[in-house]
Amino acid sequence: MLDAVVTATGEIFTFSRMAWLFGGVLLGSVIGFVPGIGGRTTLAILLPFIVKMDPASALVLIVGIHAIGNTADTIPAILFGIPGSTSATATVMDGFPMAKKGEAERAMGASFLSSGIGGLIGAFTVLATIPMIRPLILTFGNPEFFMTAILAIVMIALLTGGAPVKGLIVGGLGLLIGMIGDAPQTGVQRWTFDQLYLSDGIPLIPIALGIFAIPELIDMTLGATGTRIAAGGPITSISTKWQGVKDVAAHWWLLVRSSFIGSWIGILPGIGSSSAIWLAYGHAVQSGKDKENFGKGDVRGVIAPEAANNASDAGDWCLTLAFGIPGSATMSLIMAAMLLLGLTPGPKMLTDHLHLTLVIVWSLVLANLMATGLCFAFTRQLAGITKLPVHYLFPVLIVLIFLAAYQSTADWGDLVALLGFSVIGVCMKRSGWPRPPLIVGMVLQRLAETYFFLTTKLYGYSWLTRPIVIILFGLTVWTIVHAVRRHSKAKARA
Amino acid sequence: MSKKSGNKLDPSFWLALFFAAVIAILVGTAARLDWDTRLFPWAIGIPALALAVRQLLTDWRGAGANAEQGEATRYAGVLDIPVDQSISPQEMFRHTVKTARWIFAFAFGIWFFGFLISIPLFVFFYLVYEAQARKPVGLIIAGLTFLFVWGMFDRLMHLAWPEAALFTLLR
Repeated sequence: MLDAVVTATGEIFTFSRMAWLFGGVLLGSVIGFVPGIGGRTTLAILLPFIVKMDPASALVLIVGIHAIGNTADTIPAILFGIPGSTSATATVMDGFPMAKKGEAERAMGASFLSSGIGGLIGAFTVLATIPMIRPLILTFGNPEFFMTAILAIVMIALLTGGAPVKGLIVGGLGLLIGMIGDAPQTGVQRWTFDQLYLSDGIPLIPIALGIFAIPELIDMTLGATGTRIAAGGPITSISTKWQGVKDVAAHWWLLVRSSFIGSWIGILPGIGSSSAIWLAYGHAVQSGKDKENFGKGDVRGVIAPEAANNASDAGDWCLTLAFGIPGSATMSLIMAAMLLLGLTPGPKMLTDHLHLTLVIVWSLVLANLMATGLCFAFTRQLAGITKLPVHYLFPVLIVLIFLAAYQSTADWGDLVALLGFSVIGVCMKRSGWPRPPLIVGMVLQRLAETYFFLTTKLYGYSWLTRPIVIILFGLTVWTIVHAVRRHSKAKARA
Repeated sequence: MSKKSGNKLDPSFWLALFFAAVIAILVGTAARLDWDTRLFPWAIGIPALALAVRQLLTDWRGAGANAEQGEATRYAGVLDIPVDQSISPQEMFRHTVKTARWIFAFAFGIWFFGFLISIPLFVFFYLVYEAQARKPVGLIIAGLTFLFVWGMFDRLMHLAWPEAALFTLLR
């Protein structure tokens, strides 16, 4: 192990490798800023070039491109309320209200630093757990995965404070929408109404953009012509990126907890950062003493999901490298790149190619530092966008949203889905229906259904007696009871 | 349709009705599927439908009280980005319809002219007529937007653009 550490360190700290890493971070940051594009597209574009490189340099470049994605996708989420990817949807909740209050710089400062530290914690967690990762994952069988998915959905659905029933309905609806298309276990087409577009299910990006981005953009232009996004407050000393740094320092324990949530979720196959962010956000709300400001621009609502987002990425890497199981679509692409480079992800990456695995871990650490530094350096300029007239930004952002939605599957159906869910999103926002559970339900549907099916087929009713299932079930019940009690107390006070 | 005559039903009621109808259709049509395929849809859909009906009844009963209060304060407990309370619902509705017209016009433009033609047109017309920008400013922003989209999505990413209805007709 020590030999491999020394070899990996020697391989990464060369001028050319550092240049590749920085080049990847730079490229990823430029493209990652555009909503809906992200690291996956960049990797797809560069794949033909990457395969001609030597494996270590190629891996370093891939990590550079990929690592910045989760940091850069926060920028449109905070500035315009448009999640750069589904991993940034939770950041919209408090990041965008902060921008509207004139605190975009503070939100971005907190976000970038949380992302960076979260990524580091994730990378070190992966490094520390490599020897015991196998038994750790094997403690989780199908029933435990199923209960984790259910707990995640219930937690997010019940985060809706004053409207727990609405949260559960929307979460259920999200799961049902996610079921459109091929049933994972039988392959039977479900609710496709003979439409080819629906056979693979409705992609998440048009729905997330429709539900979150379009309603926020419509509301953004509510003011008179010439209104700025940051019309809600003056730029003061509290709005600087350094205040964001102080916020992170003040809430360091939340950052650490969220990073561990992200790391753990990242290691679990199929759950991924889209769920980790909401679990971390839910944890921030539930563990916070004063919850009133969540959704209205609370910096804790930025710190928690951003830390979890990057931390889960490291876990995702671990899963891909150690087991050859890609935890997300981007990881599938990275796995394809590795195969083209002659590397087979799986247990051999921890034995024969351990030094390359450690090159990746080193690259993750350095790329996170570079990404944080790069984004942090331009925070003021980026925050300046919120001072531009919103009516000038609106058409450009609408164009980007349509393009981001369309490039999901390059089908007219993407645009129809975007428009349909925009209408639903506007109605939900106006009439007090929570939107986050819909996305979480959709994200977790396939996982929940697959594990539900396997659990009932393989274990009958005996799965209900497994210790981790009992703990997760207890947590789920506690979450429901806690939410109902809080709701009843709030009603009694009113 | 209101329980108390003269009082309007809350918008939440109509959305609950819509969600209940969608869930009911999905649960109902799932009956045609085999057991393994419909098990999970039913396991989720039936409780969701029961909750939607419960919400529907709550909103129905609460319609009178909400109308009397005439405020959106009852939504304060919902964890989501809040609606700007300083703007009247009527004004918000008018603005939403106006903005939605632009968005749907852009979608129609994409269908009829294709992405690459409708993008600069939409940006220019919106800037000039809605944002009241000067025409040269509109032209510059529309041109830059077009160049960015063309360069990134067409030249770099080779995105497969859908064929516009106009060109299909002309062929």
